[in-house]
Amino acid sequence: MNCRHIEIYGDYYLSNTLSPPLRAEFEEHLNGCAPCRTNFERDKKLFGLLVSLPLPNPPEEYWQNLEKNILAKTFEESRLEFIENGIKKDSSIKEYLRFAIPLAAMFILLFSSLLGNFGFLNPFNMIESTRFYSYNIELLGNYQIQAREPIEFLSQTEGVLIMSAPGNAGYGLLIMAQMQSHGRGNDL
Amino acid sequence: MTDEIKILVEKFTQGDQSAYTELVRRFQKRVYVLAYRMMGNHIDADEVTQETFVRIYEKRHELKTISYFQSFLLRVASNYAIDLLRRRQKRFISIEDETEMLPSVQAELVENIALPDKDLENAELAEIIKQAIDRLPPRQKITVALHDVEGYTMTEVAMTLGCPEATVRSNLHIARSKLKKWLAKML
Repeated sequence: MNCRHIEIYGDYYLSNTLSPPLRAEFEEHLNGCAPCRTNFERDKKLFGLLVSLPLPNPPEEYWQNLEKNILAKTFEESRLEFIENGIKKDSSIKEYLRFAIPLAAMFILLFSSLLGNFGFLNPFNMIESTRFYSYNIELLGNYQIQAREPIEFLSQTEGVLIMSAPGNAGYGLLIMAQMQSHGRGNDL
Repeated sequence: MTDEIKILVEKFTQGDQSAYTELVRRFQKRVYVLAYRMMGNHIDADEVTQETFVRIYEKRHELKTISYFQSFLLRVASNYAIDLLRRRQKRFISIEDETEMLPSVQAELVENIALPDKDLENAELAEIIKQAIDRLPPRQKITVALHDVEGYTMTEVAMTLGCPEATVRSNLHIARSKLKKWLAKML
């Protein structure tokens, strides 16, 4: 064993993990080499000093609080991470919809116009062929109502006018309205 | 590592919160002691300990081998402590830092601190050694703390720090040379 080996095996010697034959060789070299012996003695002292450093020993209450703090922090952060991921997912859906909605609208328009060309459906032609009926109603001013179907006036009491347009889903209710003139309108 | 710990670690990697709680209870002191050796004060050691456990929970899927749990845990702790030390860039940790601690905890900590062995004549001597260790660069400091102070083997230190044993040996050699120089009067 040479001086270099003493440096390498010093740790193992101090921690008693050197095999008996190597341990004997180690000691033999130290006995015959003053510089190595001095260096090793200093290492030994340093090792002793480091091992003897006082350990921090907080009260038991601290460990209980530490555990609580760790768990609170861990699960709060993982909850935030979960929310953050959720937001990211929502954002990705929104991103997707930003492109999907205009694409769908374009497709519907294109499809409708194609059908119209074949005579199945054309919303523009339909509007052109519809007859409008016109009524004048005074409702805090003079207004003109236009309807595609003739309006049937169901009742007229003071200040309240109830009317129905056949083909519509329900009744229209005008409050505080006073009909000035009514009747079948003219085609526009 | 006992079978009981292995089962806990396995459950923990699958996201079992009660297993994680139990691991926190069992390993928090070990992490705190290492953090205290690294940081030199209670406040920072507390921060490192808390952050270490939060991080291992987030990184639980990265633990491939159950039996490496302790190395994994200490590696996360040492990396965080090293980052913290580097961020502070050789900031001198004075005794004033300890006064930020709650007075009751501070008082009990001082009272409960283990008395130095016969080699350490008094707390002043321990403080000198502690300050000498604090002067070491973070990597050398963690190597000394793990190997020389806490008694981990070279292999364990290498696994914890994620480097070859030769690097551990080299860091240890350089760190000890410095310490011997700084503490020459005591040796």
